[in-house]
Amino acid sequence: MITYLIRRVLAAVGVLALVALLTYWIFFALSADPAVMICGKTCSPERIDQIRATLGVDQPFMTQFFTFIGGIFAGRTYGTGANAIECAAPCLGFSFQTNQSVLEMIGDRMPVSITIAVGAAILWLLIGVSAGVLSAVKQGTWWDKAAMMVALSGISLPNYFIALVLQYVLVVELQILPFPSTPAFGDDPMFWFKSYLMPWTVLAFGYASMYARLTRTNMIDTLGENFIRTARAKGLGSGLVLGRHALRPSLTPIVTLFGMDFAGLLGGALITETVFGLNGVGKLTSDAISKNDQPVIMGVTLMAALFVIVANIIVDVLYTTLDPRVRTKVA
Amino acid sequence: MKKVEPTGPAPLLEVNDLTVSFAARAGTTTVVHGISFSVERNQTVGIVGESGSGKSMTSLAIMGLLPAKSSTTGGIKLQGEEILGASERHLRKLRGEKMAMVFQDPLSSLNPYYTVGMQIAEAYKAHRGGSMRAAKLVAADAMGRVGITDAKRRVDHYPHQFSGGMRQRIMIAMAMCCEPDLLIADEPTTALDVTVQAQILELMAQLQDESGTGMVFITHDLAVVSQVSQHVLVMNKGRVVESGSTEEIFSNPQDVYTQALLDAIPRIDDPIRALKKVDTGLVNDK
Amino acid sequence: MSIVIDHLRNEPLLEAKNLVREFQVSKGGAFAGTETFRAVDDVSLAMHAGRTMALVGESGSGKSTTARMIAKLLDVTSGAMFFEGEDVTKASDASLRRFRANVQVVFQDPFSSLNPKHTVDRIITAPLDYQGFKGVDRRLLVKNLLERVGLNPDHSGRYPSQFSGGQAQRIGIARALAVEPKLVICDEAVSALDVSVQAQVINLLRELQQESGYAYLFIAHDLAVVRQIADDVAVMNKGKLVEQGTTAEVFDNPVQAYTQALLSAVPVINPEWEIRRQENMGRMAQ
Repeated sequence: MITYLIRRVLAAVGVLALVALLTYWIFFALSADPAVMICGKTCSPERIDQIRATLGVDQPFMTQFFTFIGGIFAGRTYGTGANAIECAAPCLGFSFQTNQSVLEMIGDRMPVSITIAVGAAILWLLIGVSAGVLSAVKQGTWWDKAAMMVALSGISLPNYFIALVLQYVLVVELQILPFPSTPAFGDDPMFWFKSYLMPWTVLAFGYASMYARLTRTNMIDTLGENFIRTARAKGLGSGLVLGRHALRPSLTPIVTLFGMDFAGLLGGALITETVFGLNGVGKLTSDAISKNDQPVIMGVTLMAALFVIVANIIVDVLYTTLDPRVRTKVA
Repeated sequence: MKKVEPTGPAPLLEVNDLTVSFAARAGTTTVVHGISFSVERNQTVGIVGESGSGKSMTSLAIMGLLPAKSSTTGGIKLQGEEILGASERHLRKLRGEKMAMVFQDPLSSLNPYYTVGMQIAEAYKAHRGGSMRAAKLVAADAMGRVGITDAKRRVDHYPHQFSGGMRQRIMIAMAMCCEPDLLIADEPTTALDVTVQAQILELMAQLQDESGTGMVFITHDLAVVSQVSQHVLVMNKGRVVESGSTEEIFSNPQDVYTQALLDAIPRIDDPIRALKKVDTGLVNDK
Repeated sequence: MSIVIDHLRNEPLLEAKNLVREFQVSKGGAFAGTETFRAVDDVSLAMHAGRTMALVGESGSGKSTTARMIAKLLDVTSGAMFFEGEDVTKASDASLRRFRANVQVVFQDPFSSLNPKHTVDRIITAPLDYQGFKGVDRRLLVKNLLERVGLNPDHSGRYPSQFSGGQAQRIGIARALAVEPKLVICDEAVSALDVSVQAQVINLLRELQQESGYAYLFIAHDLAVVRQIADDVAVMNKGKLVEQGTTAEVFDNPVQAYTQALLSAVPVINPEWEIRRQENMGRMAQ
């Protein structure tokens, strides 16, 4: 187990390094000169050279890249003398557009993204899985057909469309909910809940639809298994047959999917956050892209990759405890 | 050879004019056509037939485990009590307690996510109550009785950690843990190697001797059925074409289909005979 | 034809010498390393034109792995293979193509080994393309092949799902024979079939051999079937060749304890019943 974990972590570091190299290459080597962007309209060639030196973009590509990697472990200093900017380890870069370290920017936005992700995840797991189970058990009934119809629309309708419709109906017309915002929980828990409810719902809708359909398919497959017939032949009640024998094999594959989806969301719910104007990592990303703030894009990408890779390891380890066939081979 | 001793007035199992049909798009398909037979305590009745003969549907009908879209008519009496059409709640009490079943493929018939001890224990607990811990002790005991060595340790193992023969022993232990009056074995040795088959058949005979359980043994293998049963039903396309004592059926078959089947099976003790073609018009390969 | 076969009998058609196949398997536990498992250990076999060699054994004996190596569907770890005296162990391209035309396989499950989306016509002629056969009248070939395996030639436009299991297996045989092979490997080719259908397919294989002098390598776990069809038998256990000889030698006079145990485990119908049945049938026929 320990050697397995070490192997996985080493592999993960390798993948992260590769992701870093690729993103660095794409954003820094292929797109517009960041110095020109920062300098603005009133700009002299000397000024541009000066900014370039501060940013380090006058160096060859590999030197730049290793300076960036070095910054993550040891911190780095941009420029020299009185204008020098300290960026302590782990330094994910520095945005000269906002004059903030990238890590700090992400750190500021993280709580909002986590709140959105956790709330939505709870919603979609509860609704998606239970709707899927119910549909499988009541296969072919009107409930099944209706639920699957809704799920299909949840998968096919774009997020922002649902967001705008819900906002119009619930906020503008009916005035049941406030405009979505990101208040602190401590000030007014009820207001906090109402403010986040719509983003959660919008985000959860698509995922819940997918999970419902997947759970239904898995559950129907499992219910056709021979061991379900055995469980019934033993005289077990339908509660035990479903809850003990059918549910666990049906949900195990969903754990993998959930790990990936949740980790992906921690890197920011780009569309939902942007549509509702919530200051999470997703909004940070879309803003950075529109302003071509390369250090931020770079940092967010690396961060998102880290989340997914870590989630991957956690899910794989978890899987070995969930499926005894993976845990142990023939004794 | 075992003697058939009727215990009291009613036989252990009495199947009377049983018909099973499925609703299909073009009308209904009948898979079992009015079959009748009975099983006494300590007796084994063999049902033999090729694929599509309706033998497995018969066993599922007795257990009340047919799919919901099927319909059944006729009668199934267990110890004199009519159980065809009984409520699911009542059937649940009978399954595992009064009648139990062993299936063809032991690996897929066991849940891969739970230990074998737990799966035997829950069968016991469902009918006898008590704690899971106590039921696990019963499970270990049952596993020991079907010849699994080191049963106390192996109750905590998962199905995939056993060989095919051991898994079928576990299925038998599970079926027998509440000492049912009737055991239905549906092709219990078909998926097993021939040496393992011999061991399992011996184990089933031994358990029957000890407990006096009545048995319905379903198989496609004529040689196996000739060895395990006192009474044989030959089924073809949902009908019983012939039934009688095993000796009668094998030494003096009356029906053309039975005769053709006996001509068609390859025999390990008779290399010279060319296999005769089954051309009675009843066979599937037309 | 038989004179030709007799002439060839001394020269093996295909000779496998000291075949070994190893696999890397997990040591148990998801995170342990792997270890080497020897599935086939030093197996030597010789197949002759016009004769049937049966390779028997229980699951895990290595018989299927051996067959796959002989068909060159799996590489050997060590050992050598000679086809008509030519070393084909490491054959590639042109000589492999010639080898594939000479050695064909009939698989166990006819339905999963026939493409359900292709017509019988296309299934049967596909090997001709792979083997680079040109200038063959395909219509005539398909017609002849279907007639030879006992199917209606007018059905060449149908799909596999429109046939029964026995018929589908006949299509599999026709496909194997299309490229006029010298050796046909039957990998459990009759195991999935019902008794009556099985008899017909065994008879068909025999007739085809008598007509065309094919060599068969017959992989089977059913010893009664083997006794009916094989001239020579090789018994495998745990990757090793335990015993080899003519069918009569091995079945009537097994030397090795394993072979004896295997043969005695096969269930048989009481021979007295069978004698009486033959008498009764004879009386009925009069």
